Amino acid sequence: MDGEAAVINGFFTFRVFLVGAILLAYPRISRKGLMFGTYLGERHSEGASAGKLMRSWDIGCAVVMGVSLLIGWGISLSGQPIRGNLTGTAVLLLLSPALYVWTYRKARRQVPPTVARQAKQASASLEVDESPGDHFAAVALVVCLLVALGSAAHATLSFEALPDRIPTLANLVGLGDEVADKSIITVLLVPTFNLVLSPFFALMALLIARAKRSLRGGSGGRSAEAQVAFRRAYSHLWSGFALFVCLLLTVTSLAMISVARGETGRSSGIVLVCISVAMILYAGFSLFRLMKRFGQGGSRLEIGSAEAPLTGALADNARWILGVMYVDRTDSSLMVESRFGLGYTFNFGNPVAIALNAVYLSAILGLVVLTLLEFGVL
Amino acid sequence: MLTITIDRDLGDAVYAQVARQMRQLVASGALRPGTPIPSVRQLARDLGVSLNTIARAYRLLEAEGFLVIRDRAGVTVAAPAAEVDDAARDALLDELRVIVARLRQAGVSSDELLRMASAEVGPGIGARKGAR
Repeated sequence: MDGEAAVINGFFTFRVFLVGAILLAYPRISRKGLMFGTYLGERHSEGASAGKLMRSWDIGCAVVMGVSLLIGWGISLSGQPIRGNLTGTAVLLLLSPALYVWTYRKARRQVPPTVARQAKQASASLEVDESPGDHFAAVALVVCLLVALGSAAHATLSFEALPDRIPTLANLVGLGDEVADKSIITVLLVPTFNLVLSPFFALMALLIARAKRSLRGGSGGRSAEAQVAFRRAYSHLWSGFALFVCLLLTVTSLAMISVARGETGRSSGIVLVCISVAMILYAGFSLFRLMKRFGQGGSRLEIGSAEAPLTGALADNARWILGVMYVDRTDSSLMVESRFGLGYTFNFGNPVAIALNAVYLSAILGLVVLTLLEFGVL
Repeated sequence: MLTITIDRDLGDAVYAQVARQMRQLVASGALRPGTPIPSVRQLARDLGVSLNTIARAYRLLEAEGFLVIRDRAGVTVAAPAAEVDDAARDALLDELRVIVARLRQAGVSSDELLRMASAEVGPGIGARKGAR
C-alpha cells in the first residue's frame, strides 16, 4: 500500500469510527422517556424491554461499522483506495439510517397506551424567556451578511483586473490548484456561497435561541433551566460556526483574487489551513462538550425533575414522522427539540419553516447546478 | 419556577384553561402586580398552540383587569384598581352570590364558607370584619 492509499484508508477508517461513536452516543444523551425518536414514557424507557432495544442498537452499530470497513478496505486492498473509500462511506450512509428505522419501528411497538394521554398536555414556564444566545446570534448574522456582501463587492470590483484564467482552488502553498476561464460565476462563486451559507448558519443560531422549550409536567423548573442552558450553548455553537464559515470563505475569495493577480505567496494557503483546522476543532469540541455536559435538550442537567413526564411536542408520537420530522399545524413554534440526536428541528407544519427550507435548499441546489454547469461537469 | 399546564382532553377551551390558571396564580399571590409574563408569541410557542389562542386568553385577562398589555413593555400583571368601580363590583357581587349559592347547594356550611373566604382573601379579612 503506497502512502496516498494509506492516508485515504486512514481517513476512511477514522470516519467510520467517528460516525459509529456518534450513533452509539445519540440514544444515551436523549431526554429521559425518549428512545430512538419514540416517546416510551419515563418508567418504561428504563425497563427490561428498553434495555434489550438499546443492546440491539449497539450490536447493529457494530455490524454497520464492520460491514462498511470490510467493504471499504476490501476494495481498497484490491488496488482502488478511492473507490473503496467512497463505497465504504456509501454503505455506512445507507446502513445507518436503515438501522435507525429498524430500531425505531421496534421502539414504536413498545409504546404503552398511557403515553397518548400525556401528549394531550403541555406545560410552559411563566418566566419571561430572555432567549439567551439571542444577542450573539443577531450580531453574528449582521457580521456574516456585511462581510459576505463586502467580499462579493470586492470580487466584483476586482473583476476587470483579473487575468483570463483564474484559480478556483488554492492549495496548501497558496497557489492555484485548478484554473478556469474568468467569468462572473467563477469570480463570484465563493462570495455567493458565503452569502448563502454563513448568514443561514447565523439565522439558525437565532432561531435556536428562540426555539420552543419542552417542559416536563408538574414542577418542571429544573427542566426549564436545563433547556435554557442547553439552548444557549447550542445557539452559541451555531453563531461561532457561522463566523468561522464566513471567515474561511472570505479569506478563500481574497486569496483566490490575490493568487490570480500573482500577489500572494505561501501565507494565504497556511492561513486557510489554520482557519479550517480551527473551525473543525471548534465544532468537534463544542459538540463533544454539549453531549457530555448538557445532553440533548439539557437532559443531563434535569436531575431531580427527570421523573416528571414529558408533555407536548416531545411526548406526542403522532406528530413525528419516523421520530425525526415534526409536523404540527396547530403548533405556532418554528423549531422544536429533536427527539433523536443533538439539537433542534423545524416544525414542518409551520408554513414559515417550509418556506425557509424551500428557499435555502433552492439556493444551495441552484449554486451547485450553476457550478457544475460552469465547470462542464453537467 | 411558575408553570401552567393545558390539557386538550379537558372540556374547557385552551384559552379558558390559560386564563383560569393565570387568575388563580394572581389570586394566590404567586404572580404579583408588575411581574412580567411571557409574550403571546412565547407562551403560544411553549404550549404548542396557535397565537390566537393565547391572544384571546390575554385579551380576556386584560378586560378583567388582571393583565396590562403594552406593545413595547410587554405583558405584566396589573395592580389592583386604586378606586372601586361600582358597576364592576355589583356585577362581580352577582357572580359571587351565584357561587355562594352553588357552594351551599353542594353542602358547604356557612362556617366553612367563611373559612374558605378568609383563606382566599388573607389575614386582613378578620380585621376589616371586626372594624365593622
